Amino acid sequence: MRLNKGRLDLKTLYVGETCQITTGSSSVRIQHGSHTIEMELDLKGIGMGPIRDDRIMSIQDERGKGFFTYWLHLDKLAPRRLYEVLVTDRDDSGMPGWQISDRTPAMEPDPAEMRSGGSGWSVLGKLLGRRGG
Amino acid sequence: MRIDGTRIDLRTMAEHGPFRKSMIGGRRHIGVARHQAIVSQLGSRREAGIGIGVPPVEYTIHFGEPPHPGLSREPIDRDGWLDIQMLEPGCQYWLEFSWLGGVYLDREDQTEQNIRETRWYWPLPLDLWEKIRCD
Repeated sequence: MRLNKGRLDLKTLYVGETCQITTGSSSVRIQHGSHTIEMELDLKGIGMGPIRDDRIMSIQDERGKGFFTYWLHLDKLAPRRLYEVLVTDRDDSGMPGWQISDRTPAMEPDPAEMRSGGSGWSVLGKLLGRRGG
Repeated sequence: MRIDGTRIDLRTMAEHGPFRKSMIGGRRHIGVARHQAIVSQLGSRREAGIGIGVPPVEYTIHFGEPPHPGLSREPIDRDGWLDIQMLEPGCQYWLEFSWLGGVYLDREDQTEQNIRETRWYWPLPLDLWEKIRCD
């Protein structure tokens, strides 16, 4: 896997092998095959909400000769998330078919809040039609 | 900086946005452990170096088993790729833009006696060197 200036070169990922990207608040950890690289990076977080390929990926003709590089912009991912990138295939020109999924585990309810019947439970109570919540 | 697996492209060692001032003497620190190496940001010669300071961490590169001790491959290839996995675990290294127009890789425990095994030099392409030495 190849990285440059906070971008991941999608062409350098193995087809069919997941690349796991874990974002912190200002760092990124990329794991693919036997390699793991962590880097300090300012995350702009515009990837929050639905992931839009056109915002996090760009195509660059690096040498001006039709050798295209397909960059995934890591700084545009949202902080504190777990993503999985999978290159599914490559066409004759080397263009990768790929997908990215947000695999961040769902937040567990705060145990203290559950014990005390906190706001989470009162909201649930309202939804169920309980009065005086 | 461009990284490919466990290799660093020394041509991109200076990538820090536009070249506004000379980077001669600029250094990056590399700390090597058995299964990972930590590469610092590029610091100027006034803020980075032995007895001066270590810039903040920029990359942590993890790898499997270190190479066999008998393997005597050079850590920098002809194209300027430094394979971190070829460095000695437990040692600290410095990359430095030299006045000579290239990059030195020095192990921190270098002495006159072991300099042949602890110093490497890679000449930068001329066009890149022109940018790096600009004032």
